[in-house]
Amino acid sequence: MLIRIGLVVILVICNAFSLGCNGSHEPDSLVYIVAIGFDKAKEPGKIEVSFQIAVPRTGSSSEGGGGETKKNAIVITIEAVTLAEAYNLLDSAISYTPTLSHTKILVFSEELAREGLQDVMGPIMRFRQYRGSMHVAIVKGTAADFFKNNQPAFDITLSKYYETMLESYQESAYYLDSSLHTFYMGLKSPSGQAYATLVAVNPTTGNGAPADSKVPEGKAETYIAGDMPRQGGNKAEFMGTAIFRGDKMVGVLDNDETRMLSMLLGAFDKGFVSVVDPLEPKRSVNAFLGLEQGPSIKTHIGNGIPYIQVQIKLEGEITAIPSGIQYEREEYLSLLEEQFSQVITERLEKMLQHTQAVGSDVVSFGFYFRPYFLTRLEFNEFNWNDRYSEAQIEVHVKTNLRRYGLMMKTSPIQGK
Amino acid sequence: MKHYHPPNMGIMSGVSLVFIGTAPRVFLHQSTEQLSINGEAAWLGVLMNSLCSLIMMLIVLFLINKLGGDFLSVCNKLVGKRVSWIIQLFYSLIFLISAALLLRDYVESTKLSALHDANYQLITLVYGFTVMIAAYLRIEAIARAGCFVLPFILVGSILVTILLYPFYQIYQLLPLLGNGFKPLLISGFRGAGYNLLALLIVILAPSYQNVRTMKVCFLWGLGGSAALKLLYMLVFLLTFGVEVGMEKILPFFEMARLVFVNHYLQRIEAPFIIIWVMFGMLAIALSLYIAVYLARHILNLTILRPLIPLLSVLTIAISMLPENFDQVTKYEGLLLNAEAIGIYLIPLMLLVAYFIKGKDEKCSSE
Amino acid sequence: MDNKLITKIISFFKKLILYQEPALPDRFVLQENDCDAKALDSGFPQQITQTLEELNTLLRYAYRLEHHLETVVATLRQGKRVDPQIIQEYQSLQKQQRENEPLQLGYYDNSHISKDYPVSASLKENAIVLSKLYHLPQNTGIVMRPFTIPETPSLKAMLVYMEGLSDKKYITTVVLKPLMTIQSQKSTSSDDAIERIMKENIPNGKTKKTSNFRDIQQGINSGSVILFLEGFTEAIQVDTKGWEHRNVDRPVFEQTVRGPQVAFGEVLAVNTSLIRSLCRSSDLMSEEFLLGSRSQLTAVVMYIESIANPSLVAEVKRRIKSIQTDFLVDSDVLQQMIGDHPNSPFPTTASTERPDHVASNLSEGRIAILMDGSPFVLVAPITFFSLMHSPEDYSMQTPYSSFIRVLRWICIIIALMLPAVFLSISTFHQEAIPTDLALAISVARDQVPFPTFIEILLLDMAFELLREAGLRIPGILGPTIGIVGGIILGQAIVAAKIVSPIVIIVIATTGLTSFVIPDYRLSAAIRLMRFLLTTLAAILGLVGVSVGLLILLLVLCNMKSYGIPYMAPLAPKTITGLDVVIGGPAYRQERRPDVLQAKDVTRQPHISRGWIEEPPEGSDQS
Repeated sequence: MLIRIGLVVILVICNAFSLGCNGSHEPDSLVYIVAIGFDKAKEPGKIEVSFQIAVPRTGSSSEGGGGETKKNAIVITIEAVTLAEAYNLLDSAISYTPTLSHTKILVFSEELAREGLQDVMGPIMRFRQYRGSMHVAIVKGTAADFFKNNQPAFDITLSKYYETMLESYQESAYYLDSSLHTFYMGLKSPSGQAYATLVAVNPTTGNGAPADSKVPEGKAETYIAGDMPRQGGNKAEFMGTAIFRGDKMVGVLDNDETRMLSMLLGAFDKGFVSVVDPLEPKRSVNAFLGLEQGPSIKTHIGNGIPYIQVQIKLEGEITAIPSGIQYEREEYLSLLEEQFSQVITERLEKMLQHTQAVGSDVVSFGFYFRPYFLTRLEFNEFNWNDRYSEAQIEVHVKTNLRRYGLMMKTSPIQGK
Repeated sequence: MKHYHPPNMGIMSGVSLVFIGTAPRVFLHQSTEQLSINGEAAWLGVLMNSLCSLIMMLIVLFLINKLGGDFLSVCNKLVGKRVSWIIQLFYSLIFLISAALLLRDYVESTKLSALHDANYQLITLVYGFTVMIAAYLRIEAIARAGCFVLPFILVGSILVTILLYPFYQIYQLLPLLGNGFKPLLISGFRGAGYNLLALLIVILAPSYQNVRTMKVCFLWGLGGSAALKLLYMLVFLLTFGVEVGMEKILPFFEMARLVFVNHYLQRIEAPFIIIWVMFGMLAIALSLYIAVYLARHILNLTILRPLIPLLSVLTIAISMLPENFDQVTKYEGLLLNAEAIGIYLIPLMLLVAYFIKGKDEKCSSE
Repeated sequence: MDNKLITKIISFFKKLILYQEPALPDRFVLQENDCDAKALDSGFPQQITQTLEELNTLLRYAYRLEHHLETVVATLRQGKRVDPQIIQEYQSLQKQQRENEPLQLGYYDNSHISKDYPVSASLKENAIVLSKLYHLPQNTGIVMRPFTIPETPSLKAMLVYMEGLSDKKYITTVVLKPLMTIQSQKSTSSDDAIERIMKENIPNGKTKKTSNFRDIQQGINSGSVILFLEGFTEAIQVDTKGWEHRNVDRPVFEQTVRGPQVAFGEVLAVNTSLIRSLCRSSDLMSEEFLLGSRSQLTAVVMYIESIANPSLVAEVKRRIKSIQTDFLVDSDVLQQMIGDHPNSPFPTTASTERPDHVASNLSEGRIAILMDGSPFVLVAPITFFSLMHSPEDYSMQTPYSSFIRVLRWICIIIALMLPAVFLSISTFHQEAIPTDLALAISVARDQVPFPTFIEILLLDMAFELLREAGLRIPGILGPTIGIVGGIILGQAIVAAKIVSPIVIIVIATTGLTSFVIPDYRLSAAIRLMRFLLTTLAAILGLVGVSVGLLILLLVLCNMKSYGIPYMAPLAPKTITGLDVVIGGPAYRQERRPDVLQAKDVTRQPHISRGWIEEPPEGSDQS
């Protein structure tokens, strides 16, 4: 009897250990792909997939002495028909086993996006290594280029670069982060469309190319990624949003329009806004604004035309008054608030016109029309995505400047 | 026939047993199925399921209150020995096949989510072995282990739902009726079969002191599992919506993967594996144990234990029968139909028999 | 002649050149005990020696009788009055005759002496029996001192005791002196002489009469002194235990910062007295049992009669009484004989060396089992949760002690699961680690040749090795070995790239947390389970860990400790009384633990602090 039990135990143990390691990998036999880029290949029907692979080193202090080139990551570009094939081909190029479990961002080139992402994005959620918390970005130019030029200015690992970059959008709302989950939901949703972060490589020569969506009385220039006039720092730049209709990219929102989009989405936390000084048009006033509460959106349908009313409340503090006029006082303050509200209303209307022109409802107004229908069938017949262009949208903005920073009033500068 | 008296169990064990028996499918693809049938009204469907099953259980409890004994003796008294034997056989087969399909589901989920490259048969064997040990240690051990594990499961599940708060979009719950009223009614009634295993309380009635205890077990157990399922359905709808939700095979896994609070608290689906594996093993073991218990009555045996390795090997074999996942879904649909018969037809039949015959029976409260 | 010469020469050269073994005697080899073969045909020679002994006894009796008869004849011839001594001799001869009639004289083995062999009326017979039983004169240590009690007529007596076990001074004071200076005038030939001597002349608390050699042997072996009197078939046993033993000392394993610092010793009487000093109730019962057929040690079961469940007490006593074994030396061995699950590594009784722990457990309705010679007292029945209680919890304030208890529970989970969870996450589920940490682990494991599983096993074994070695190192070498161990394990093994530093952190944390567990056996069980869980984690990752954890939980929930479920009060839900994990303040401990089914459930009334309800003195409220 004992022999039998012993035999069974030995058989079980042999079974358990001899069937392979069941998918376990030693942590040092893996290499982590941090970013994947997709470009259109020269041959039709093929794509070029670029993998940015993190080099194992410990954060900011690398072991084993520093050379001049402390490589953060290496970039490998492979041409293949599908992503899966490229992933397998990658095995032949590097000695480690690649894994996608730590991928932070998927970057598509603009060319590929304008043609349609159905082939790539449609099936992406099936493979278990993709997760909804990856981010999606569209790059002006090619992704391979972008990866090569992406050298973080500080000595951090690339994964940390991406993570912190895509979390610090809240400071200015000049670009939004779009996770794969949000993008995918936008793709498949009948109530709205998808949007993605716009990235590009900035030549850092100091010459900029402003976008043309400036409104009168708005003092700041508007840019999209890659066109900001600056010198120095990492060449990679995140600014603006790419908007989609279906799976095709149809337009680009510059940084200001992105900020408006974030207001409508309820994600505008803080940011500096400049307007022309109402009493001295040569100078500008600067305020630090944020949303007071989420936007209140009311809808109704009249004669088959959808009507939308948006109420946005902003609040903030004044940060700069170069002209020295005492806007802190009640009577001047309402003037200033009125100026801010007007500028932002105009900008919002301009942005909404832009999206309506291309028929892309990135704000997902369709959700607010759902209470009017009792079953999904009726709502699908309503076909919001096609109706978006004919919707009538009114925007009301109310700005409250509650604080004035550290100064109560400005004393004039003497002896000029 | 020597009667095997199950051990004495209290309210807490009863509640945990009912919870284990009815809730584990929430971690599998049951939510997706209900989404495709009902659309946005899936949570209403879940609510209807639980209510219907609760009503049926209370009907059975009423019969036991009047006639005394446990479910099997009530059947014997009301419809005679032969028909009662057929009923027992029916239930035993349902529970056995339910255990096998649940095992298959869990192995598939594991292979999809946790152990992608592992050998399928190894996972099945390991799970089957655990289930066999759990059933071998009898229902006391399962109930107590369930008592122990229950708070952690609840806390873990609720934690996931809370951490997903940034992704909620409240308008995903509208339009209210989803795909319409008719699919809602049909799936609401039919889905009560998911909770058939709650019948174990009345099958094991001698271990509960009186009918009041059993009623409390039903209310809290079914109510708790209903609350959990409702919460999951709601959160699944709120985060994913119908179009994307219909695509997912593993709702809980997807929800756990989506959690992203900041770049330190993300990708945390690994620790939740412990929760759903333990829960699933206990559920399969419970289903198997009840099947063995009924089989013992059917075959008129004196002891229970030697049947357990036998039937667990049978369970493992049945679980490997379907060839692909589509067949698994089809068989689960058939099983649900059978369970619906088991939970509606048979108690109603007993109720009718009671009203016809019951006036002549002398009431005994033992 | 040539042969002889050549042989001589050859042998001479042989002796010169060849190696000669030194002429030592053969080594001792323990021959196989063929007592099995012996048992078959042992009847024959045994019977001869039996008969021989019977003949010898009869012969001795005959010689004595002859001598007595000669004395009687001589006295009668001389015409003297019959001496009372002669009458006494006659009576003892009578009694001896009565003994010789049922001839049950199998003396060859000790075991053939019937245990109920009665005390003989003749001192000489008794002496012979004793020397057979104790293999005298080879076996030194037994002292047989014959003396005379100076009564009228003088009574011959013999004192038998074991030298090391009895207190010599005490014997002299209590037995020898009073008897040798006896002033009584009553005759010693009456039958109640023994009673009289016992009652009037021996100033000792524990005295009793014995009439068979089983009790006499037991008495001598445990330090009593036996007084044989000529002509009486009963002997007097006086309890004079007094061997050298360790004093009451501080506890070795269960040291606390606050609270009493007394620990049990090896003497049973001292241990029971320590418990009784803390629990001065008339209801505190202590019942004795003799265990071990050759070692004959005493076990004592203590419980409070008005609290403990009678069926529980009966069950414990039944189990102890039914043990049949040769040698039973330690209370832990006793625990293995009467415990419910001897094959499981988890203990079903608590084993403690502090009297206050035992006393508080007794007051909850539990039973204490003490064993002579063992400084650890068993407390039964217990639950898993009470193994995690430390006596210090009651001395500290409640918030702090609750916090420490929660910390202990977190530590036990870490001790059980940390290597397994680390292994499964770093090899199967790398996505759960932040990317920077994953890259750092990659770098740390850069040149390590072993897989993580082997590293963990290696270090775990090394830690166990250190711990075991630490138990046996003489105190002088202790710090040296500690330094060497620390340097080897800590520094050199990492510098040589045999293991990576992260695994060292994991194993060190695990080892440290396993010492937080108050019960030593429980921490040993947890260490054992940790190996199994780590192996499962290496095969199947977190799925393996959860499967192993579930099986462990099921086995624990299935265990029973003397009739109560092991995982009460969480598993079958019973009313707990605020003492399971989070402790409550003392005034709220109103109920005893429900699971023990005590006779009297409430400990203190709902308002146990009377001063709360009444107003303080001198205030306005009446």
